[in-house]
Order: sequence, then structure tokens, then C-alpha cells
Amino acid sequence: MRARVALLAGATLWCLSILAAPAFDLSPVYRFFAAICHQNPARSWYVFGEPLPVCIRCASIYFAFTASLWAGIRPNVRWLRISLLLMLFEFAVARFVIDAELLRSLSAVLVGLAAAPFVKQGVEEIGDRL
Amino acid sequence: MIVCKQCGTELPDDARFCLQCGASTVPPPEEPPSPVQAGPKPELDFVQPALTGGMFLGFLSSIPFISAGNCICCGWVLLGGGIAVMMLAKQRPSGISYGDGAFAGVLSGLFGAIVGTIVQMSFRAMAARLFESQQQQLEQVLNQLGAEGALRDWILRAASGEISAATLAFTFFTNLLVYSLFAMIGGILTVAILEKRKARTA
Repeated sequence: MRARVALLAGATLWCLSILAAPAFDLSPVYRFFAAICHQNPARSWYVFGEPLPVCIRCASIYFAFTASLWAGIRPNVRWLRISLLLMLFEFAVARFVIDAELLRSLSAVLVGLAAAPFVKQGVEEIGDRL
Repeated sequence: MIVCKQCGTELPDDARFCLQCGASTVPPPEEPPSPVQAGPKPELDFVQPALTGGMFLGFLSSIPFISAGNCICCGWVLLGGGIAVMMLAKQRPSGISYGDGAFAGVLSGLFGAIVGTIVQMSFRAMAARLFESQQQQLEQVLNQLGAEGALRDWILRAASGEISAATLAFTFFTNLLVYSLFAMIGGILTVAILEKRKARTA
């Protein structure tokens, strides 16, 4: 239970920091996320005229992941596999044909939604051991 | 002639039941050994898989240019956690739990943070020697190329060679947080994708 709450709080804080970085010009947050995202402004969403510290794909994954945790979506291996394949396909092939923000975001949202229930289960199990 | 094991009556060879007491003459089939009788499940050794996964993600996340693989949803780190889980699953073919996958991922992230920090600092020290006298020229070149934003900052930082205790601590703890978190996710998702999970025990 505590592990679940910690995961939910951590994921929410993660997303809030992404939104707060451009709003309050938090350079340490940009520096932190630079380790895990290319931060290309051309491939990022803008808030208050500033790009988010992560690209559209990453932001979509994180926001969908957190939404999935709040919504309590049940784990489904088939959906996880399909969503990962779709994102890989979009990354490897579709971008050369149609490099659309919507396509990038949608494929990432599916991964975030499908992955969160498994991560929740893993974190709960590891929490039970501690 | 066969003899009834129950009452000792002599019976024809083809008799399936004793004509005297009705007991079966056919021996009961041997039951297959239950999983419990087959012996305890093998204990999992997390260290070896986590070390391998950690080395993988630590090196690839720290070598210049190759580390760009992490820009794709922390690809190297997720893969490192996945490698640790694949090695762990081989130890127990009956399957491992999501908790096992998560633990293997966190451990590989920890090892990866140590390896990664050492490699990153080494590259930084080497870059400092190479570009010591050319910092200003490098800035001019970047200006001419129109490099801006995170890429420019990253190149200048990498070439500056500044290694202080604060830099070391910031690099290590950032690596620790990011690698542990994402390797854990990679481990859990690998368990799910490979369906190596055993039934969760209450």
C-alpha cells in the first residue's frame, strides 16, 4: 500500500516538475532531464512560451503513465506488447513517412497507459519485501 | 497364478480383482512427483545478472555519442534492466515475479551508476586535456555552426573538464536515481513481455 502511494506521489511529482520547469524557469530541472531526453525544442511542447524539459514522446509517456496509475488500469500483456511494437514502428518507420506530433504522442500515450499497471505491480511486490 | 496381496488367495493370471475379498490386483499407478516433492525452488542470485546489466547500461550511457541512445526513452538503461532480468529468468525456468524483476533492475541501476560515473569522469578528464587550450575556439566554432540549447551546453560542459566534488556528487546521484528507476521499469516490463512471471504467492 505504501509502495503504491509512493509510486503515485513520485509519478505525479515527476509530471508536475516537467510542467513547473518552464513556468518557473527551473534550470536544474532542465539539467536533470537532459540526461534522459534530447530536449530538442522543435520536438517539444511549449508552456508559457518555453519548451518542456522533455520531448513530446517522453512527456506523453510520463503523463499517460501517471494518468494510468490514477485511473487504476489493469495489466494486460497483449496491450503492452502491441503498444511497444507500435511505438517502435513509429520510431523506426513512420517518422520517415509522416513525422507527426500526433502520431508520436499517441504511440507514446499507449505505452504509458499499458506499462503503468505492471510497474505498479512490481513496485508493490518489491515494497512487500522491504 | 498370482496371489492377492490383501488376503493371500490364489487367483488366475488374468484376474484384475480378488475373487475372495474383491481387492484390486493391479498396482496403483505411480503419481508424478508434485512440485513440492521435486525440491525447493532454486534461490535467485541477483548479483551476477545485475552486474552484467549494470556494466552494459553504465558503459553505453556514458560513452560520448553512443550515450545518445538514452535520448530514446532511456533506451540503454531500460535494456540494461532487461538484460539483468533475462539472465535472472534462466536461473528459474518456472518463472520469476515482478518483484524479482524490479529488484534486479534496481540493483543493475546501482551498479550502472557507479560504472557510469567513473566512465563519465574519465571522459571528462580526457576531454579537458584535449580541449584545454581550445575552449574559446570551440565556443567560436559552436557559434559559427549555430549550435544552441542543450547540445551546445553539453559539448561545452564535456570539454570544460571541470571535476569538482559537487560535479561528482551531482553526476553520481543523478545517475543513481535515473538508472535505478528506469532499469527497474525495464526489468518489470521484461518480465511481463517474456511472461516469465510465476504466480504471485500470498
